[in-house]
Amino acid sequence: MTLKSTSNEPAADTSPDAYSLTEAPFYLALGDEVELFLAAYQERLPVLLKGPTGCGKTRFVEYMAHRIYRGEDADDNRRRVGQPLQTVSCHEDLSATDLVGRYLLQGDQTVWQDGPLTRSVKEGAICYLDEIVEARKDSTVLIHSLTDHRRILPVEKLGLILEAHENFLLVISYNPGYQSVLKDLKTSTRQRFVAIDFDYPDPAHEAEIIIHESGIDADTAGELATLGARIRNLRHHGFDEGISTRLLVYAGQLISRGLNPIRACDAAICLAVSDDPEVQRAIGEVVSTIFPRD
Amino acid sequence: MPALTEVILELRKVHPPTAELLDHTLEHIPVHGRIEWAARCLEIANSGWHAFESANAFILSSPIILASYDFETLIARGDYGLQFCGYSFEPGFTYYCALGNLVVADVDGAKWNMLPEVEAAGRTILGKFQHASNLLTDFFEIAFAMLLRENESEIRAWCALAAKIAHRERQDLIVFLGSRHESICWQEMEKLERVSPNSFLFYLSVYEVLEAKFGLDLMADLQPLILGFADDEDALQEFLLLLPGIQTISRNESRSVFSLIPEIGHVDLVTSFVSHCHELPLGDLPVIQQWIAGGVQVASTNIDAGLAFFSLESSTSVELLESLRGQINFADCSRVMQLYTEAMTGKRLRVESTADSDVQYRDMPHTLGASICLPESVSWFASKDENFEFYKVALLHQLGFFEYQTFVEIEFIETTLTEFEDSVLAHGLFNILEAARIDWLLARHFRGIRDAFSAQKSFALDSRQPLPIMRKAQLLELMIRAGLDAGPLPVEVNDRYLADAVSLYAEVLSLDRAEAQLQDTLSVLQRCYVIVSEGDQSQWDGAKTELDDGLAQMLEEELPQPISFHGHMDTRQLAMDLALVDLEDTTEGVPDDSVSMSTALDPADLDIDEIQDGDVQDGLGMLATEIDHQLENVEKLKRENEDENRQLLPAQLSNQVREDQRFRYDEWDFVINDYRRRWCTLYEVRDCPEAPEYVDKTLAEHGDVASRVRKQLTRLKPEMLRKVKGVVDGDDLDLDRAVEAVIDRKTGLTPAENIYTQSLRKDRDVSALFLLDMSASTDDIIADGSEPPPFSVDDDDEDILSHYASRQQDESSRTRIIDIEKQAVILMAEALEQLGDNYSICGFSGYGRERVDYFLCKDFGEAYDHRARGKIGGIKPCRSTRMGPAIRHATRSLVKTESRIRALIIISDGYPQDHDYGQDRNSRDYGVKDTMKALAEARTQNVQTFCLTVDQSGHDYLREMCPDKQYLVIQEVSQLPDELSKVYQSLTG
Ligand SMILES: Nc1ncnc2c1ncn2[C@@H]1O[C@H](COP(=O)(O)OP(=O)(O)OP(=O)(O)O)[C@@H](O)[C@H]1O
Ligand SMILES: [Mg+2]
Repeated sequence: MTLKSTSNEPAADTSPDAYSLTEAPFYLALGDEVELFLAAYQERLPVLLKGPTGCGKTRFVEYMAHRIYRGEDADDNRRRVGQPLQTVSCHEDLSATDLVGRYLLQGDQTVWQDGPLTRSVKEGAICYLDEIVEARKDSTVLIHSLTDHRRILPVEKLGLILEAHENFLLVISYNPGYQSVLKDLKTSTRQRFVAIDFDYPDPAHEAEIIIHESGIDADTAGELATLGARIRNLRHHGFDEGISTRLLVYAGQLISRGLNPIRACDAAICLAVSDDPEVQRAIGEVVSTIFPRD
Repeated sequence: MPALTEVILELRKVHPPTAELLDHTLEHIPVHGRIEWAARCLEIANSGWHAFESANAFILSSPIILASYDFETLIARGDYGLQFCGYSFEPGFTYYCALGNLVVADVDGAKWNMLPEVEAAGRTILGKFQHASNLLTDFFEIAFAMLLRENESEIRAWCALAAKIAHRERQDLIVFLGSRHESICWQEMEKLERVSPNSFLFYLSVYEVLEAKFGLDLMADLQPLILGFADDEDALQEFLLLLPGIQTISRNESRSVFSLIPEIGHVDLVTSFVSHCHELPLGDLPVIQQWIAGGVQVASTNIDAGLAFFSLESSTSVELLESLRGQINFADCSRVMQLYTEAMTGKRLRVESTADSDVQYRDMPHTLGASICLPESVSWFASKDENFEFYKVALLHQLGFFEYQTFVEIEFIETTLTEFEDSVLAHGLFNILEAARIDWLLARHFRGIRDAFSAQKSFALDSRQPLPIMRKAQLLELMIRAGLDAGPLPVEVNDRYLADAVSLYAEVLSLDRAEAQLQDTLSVLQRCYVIVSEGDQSQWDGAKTELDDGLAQMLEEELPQPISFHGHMDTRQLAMDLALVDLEDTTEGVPDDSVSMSTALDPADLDIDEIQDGDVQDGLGMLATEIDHQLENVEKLKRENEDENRQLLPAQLSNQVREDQRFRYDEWDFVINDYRRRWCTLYEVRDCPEAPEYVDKTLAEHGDVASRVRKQLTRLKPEMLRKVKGVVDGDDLDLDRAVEAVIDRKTGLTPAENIYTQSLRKDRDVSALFLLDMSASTDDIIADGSEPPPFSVDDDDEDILSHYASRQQDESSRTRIIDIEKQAVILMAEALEQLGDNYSICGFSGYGRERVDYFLCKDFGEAYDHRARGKIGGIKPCRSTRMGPAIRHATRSLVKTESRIRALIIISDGYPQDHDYGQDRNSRDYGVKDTMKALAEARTQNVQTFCLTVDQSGHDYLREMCPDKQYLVIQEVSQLPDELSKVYQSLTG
């Protein structure tokens, strides 16, 4: 039996979440999160991003990754990293193996393949574990050794212990809104991270984001932002999340394609946020308060 | 035959002037007949007391008659009249006089030819009522008037009727002869009489009243209807009696009503219809016609259902009407509006129907503290969409006060307004200006609602009444119109006020800016106040001189007519309510529903003078900069005030009797096979009498039962399954892990063992409600097994109460049914506390459909604390047992819990019974059927029901009420606690 490592070949097909970040992503800072992240990175302190869905967490990490690895201050060491950001969307069947790597069957042989976490640890990239609490318990164990002073990753199946590259940083995200008590982040985990709180932007900022992302005019964007703020007042009615900036951007994009705003909001917002027909109707009324029918 | 002179001599003895008259008249009489004629005259004069008057009349008429008719005819008339002179001179006198008049007026003799008809009728009456001289006189008066006025057919009809009525009671004839209305059509009446003399006479007796109400043309419309109903005399009478009182607004509406009656047909239905027609959209005939067609259909198979339909009492009826007229009911969209409100404001405001709040401006939208009240239904517009739009605009207008800071500063506003000398005027101006500012801001900031606002504004403008005459009223009205975007000043503006009107108009319009603030309203108010109150008073009214002072004053003070989508605003009330709402927000532990508290507190109890007496400056002559300064002051005051109020609050919470929340429920009427709409009013009572010691006593006395119940319930297993992956043993393979294990084995690693999934049980998701019958009969003693006296349905409620009250005194030591009920739920509650199920305990009683009391001892989610225990202990027998509404209310609260298993357990002692539970007081069917229906409704909403009764004779009706296995009659009452826990187990296990 031969052991063959494929770790140095970037496996674009197996990790669709990895971007090479050639262009700087647009991110509108809403507070001091950028400075905070930079400082944390300088000290290689793991970062926890807290906030509801679609409020810009992913975009933020992408932006930070670009800034750190491709920005003006980036040294060659960092520029060389092919995929500065490894993103893993966690789900309930995601196990430690998925993160670290596994043997694959290839004919008669078994072939080892690094998981995204291992890749980042080796290359010195940022590994972003999105919605970490969704993953299986065993994956959180890995995090512990990586996030204290040891900065090591045990690769059990290879019988290896990898020391993290000096540029490696672990970032996880966590949405306190819809987690059930069962899936709350353990204190011992939580206390290993520097936390950055995210929430939906205020209408002015949100409008700016919508303008940039969808290309619609400022007035309509402002109205979409108002709409978002009003609908978020209904958070406790069966959709804890409120409506995300993402959905508002979607609506903006549909409008920019010439769709009637009411129709666009209906598709992108009303139907998306709730299954309760009366909630949908109420949101529809808010929409038709803000946007004219034709 | 005596000689002529003898006759004259005779006559002179009777009455000399008559003899004189005769002498003078003789020359006009043909010579051959003079003696005969004179003898007739003498006979008449001799026929009775004062009969010479009749003779005089005959003598005077004779030459006139002879001018057209022959001597024989004259003598025949004399003979005819003579019959009437015996008892009193008047009938004859009237007859003879009338003859003369007739000849003069009757040029072609056509009317004279009708004379025999009249005379025949007169003879018939004479035959029946010889001595009724007044009647006879009346008869001739009317008859000859008819002869002169009417055509032959009418006369013939009238005479025939008179002859017929003569055969009836004297009273009937009086009624007949009393009906002299010229407009009556006698031929029609004759037809009516032929169908039913009674109906005819009754109609005659009310004719005058009806004509006064409806007018001639409408009476003609009515006539055929009455003819159609004539054979059902009682029903027609009821209908006719109803007519004078119907509340139709206009003549046109009455006409519509009459025109619709034939479509309904049956007179009882028509009576129902007419008595409720003021509730119908009479301006919209096609709608009503379709609705009537529906009603006729219903009535064709079930007349009671038809009656309920046309009285607008049945569900079918109300729903049909609503759907036909595009009506929107508050209830149908209340949740949407509630959510909309929360979304728009981010505040926990409650949207309710004006029908649920007992305040003055019932149907007008308004805000009371944290509640926004909207009309119960809207149907002014043709389509559902438009009607809903009204709701939306009216609601948004109220929300605008929150959005644009009006309500935040309401205390300050109120303080400012009361400091004006004429604070009524200041308040009035404020309401106008602020409403306008809000509407404009909303339309500017929310593009989508702009059109709806314009539509409502122009609708409101269209429904304004004409410009008032008096100066102040006119100016205020103009300001309102400016706020409604009325366009240029109307031409009718009084020249003397024109200058002021122009300035006011401009002032109002200055608020139409995207940045208009509350301060702007107040500054504009300031200036408008000056213009309105200090305008040229000397000539303040030219119109005044023409009106009397009181009226002028009244007109001057007249407040502008409200705008329906603006509704009503009472800043004083709001200042108090909203202050309380603030407090509620900051007072922790106040239960959710406490938002209603602010509406229940009596404003008079609070002292707003506290604020007014403070260091707020005189509101007059205030500049905008000063206002800012004052805002700070008020802010400070408010804080101080709040501290004071905070201490007050707990006391208010406990002392103030909170207004019981009111609910309306439909009731099933098996007779009409339909629901009666909003038939019962149920009051949810939270402030029940408390007797906490009862619970302790029960627990102490029944410790053994308590532990038995508890043991039984702990056997209940938690339900609800959840899949857990990655366990070492389970009922299914976890595929991902299994594959991994295979690979591990291949690579020589130790495969993981946790490759299974298993279903695990989670918490119970149960809500249960115990509903206790608190009717008077539960006061019966059961311990000694002796038969309680039978409880009769017919007994007067008061009697029952005193009966039980007296028994209570000497037998208080013995166990009553109510005790068993209470003890059972107390033991259950203890056990359920341990099990952790969500439960509620309620009792019900009532008297009549307007008053069903629902005592909420422990609500879902509420702690089983001292208070709850006290309330359960305090349960006592009250009045009747109207089960339906109580079950419906219980179902509603169970559904609200959203639990997966919902159980309703009713514990009662007797059949559902109330004094108006069905029309037939002695029939239990109505109550039983309604209860069945309520139970069935519960089941369709996923509520499991169970009836437990301690009434030994209960078997019969219970079986009917509940499907198999959902009822239990307890033979041995002391078993109730045990049985109850078994039932509970089976329902929720
Ligand atoms: N501050 C921001 N600057 C720029 N774009 C933003 C910002 N916030 C949100 N967005 C927009 O919202 C979209 C969704 O954001 P993103 O995907 O980062 O959300 P997220 O927080 O990662 O959500 P989830 O928790 O669902 O993964 C982005 O694609 C972007 O268009
Ligand atoms: Mg994301």
